[in-house]
Amino acid sequence: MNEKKMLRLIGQGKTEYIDEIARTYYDDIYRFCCFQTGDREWAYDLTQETFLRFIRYVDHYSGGNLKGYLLTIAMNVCRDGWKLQKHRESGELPEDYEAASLVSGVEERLLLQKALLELPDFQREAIVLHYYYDFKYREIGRMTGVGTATAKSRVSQGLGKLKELLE
Amino acid sequence: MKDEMEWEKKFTGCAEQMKIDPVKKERALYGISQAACAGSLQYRPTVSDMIKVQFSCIPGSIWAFQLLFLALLPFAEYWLQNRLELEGWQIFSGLSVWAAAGSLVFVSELARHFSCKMAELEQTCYLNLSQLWLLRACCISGLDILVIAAFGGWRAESYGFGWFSFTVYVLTPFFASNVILIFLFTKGRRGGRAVWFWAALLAGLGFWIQAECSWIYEAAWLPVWLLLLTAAIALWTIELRAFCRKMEGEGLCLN
Repeated sequence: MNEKKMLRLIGQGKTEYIDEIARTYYDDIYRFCCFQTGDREWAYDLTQETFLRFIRYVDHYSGGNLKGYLLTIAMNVCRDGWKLQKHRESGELPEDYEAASLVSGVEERLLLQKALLELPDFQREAIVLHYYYDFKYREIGRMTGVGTATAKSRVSQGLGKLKELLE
Repeated sequence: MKDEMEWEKKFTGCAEQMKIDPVKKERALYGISQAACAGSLQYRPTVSDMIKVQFSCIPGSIWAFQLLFLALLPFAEYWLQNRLELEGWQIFSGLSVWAAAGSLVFVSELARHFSCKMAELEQTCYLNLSQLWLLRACCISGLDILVIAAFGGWRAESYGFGWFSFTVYVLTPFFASNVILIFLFTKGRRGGRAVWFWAALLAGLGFWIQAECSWIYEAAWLPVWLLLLTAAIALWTIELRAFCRKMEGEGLCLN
């Protein structure tokens, strides 16, 4: 069923479609939260909070790109989460995160994730949205509330920093 | 481009290792489902839904009166032309008055909100009065404009005018009278006799100029008519906006 129709039915009280949306986008949102926080356990909570906020504000959603809308909520949830938990103050990743990454044996990926967390929120968000979720600069701009040029410069500046960090 | 693709690959690889625990996922989805069922969903109607609801609140009698006024427009013209034997340009003012009278039907319907505590009462019934006012003003005025324009297209040539100028000549007094009416119904109600006197004087003067001065219908004056029409539409919009804002605020008291 098309998303617009599904949302209309949700508006009419058919909550079973919320389950369908959550099931469809859960993995995407979870991974986004992982990228943003670097904490896999915490990402579960943030993903759930994203969908709970979506339920709360679904009546404000006026159609369009649902995945983008959910990612925008996730972005705000992660920002709020960071503010509350101040994980970044310690400058370290949670233990389980590192262990899990080492078990998978891909050091480069671990470094990339670690380096990502060194970037400012707005650059990390823009980079992840562009390179992993394949959003265009225009769409990133709309999701983060900035112009296309700013979104583009955030991606390129962030990428520059990322390269430096990885070297 | 190659660099872009490489980065995409890196990020995809990174994401691939973020394995999701199916038990935790199911638990989270169950929680989401529970929250959705708990009734935390709020229904916000779409614009088309709102319009439908508002339309359903407009009584049939309003549409009937409005359509009657508009349907009688050709008869009004016939009466002015043949019975009163008025000149072509004098008929314009008659038609404008007729069109403005049509808008009176709209105002009279809304006038009940000025009855003691009626607006407050309707708001307690979850009626969005500003929506209601705006939609009715736009619908009924839109209908009037459409019919007047169509009528202009049909009859303009018989008066030796183009369709455009004919429509402008009829619509200008129509909007101007609407501006005065809404003004009197809002600000004027507390303004005392002076406001009513000046409003009546202004309206009378306008009507007199329109009915007596044939030279204002010369082509050279068309830009002035257009300017007046634009100003009247702008004022009408401002008045409606101000009125709606007042109703959306906390201090609603139309009495």
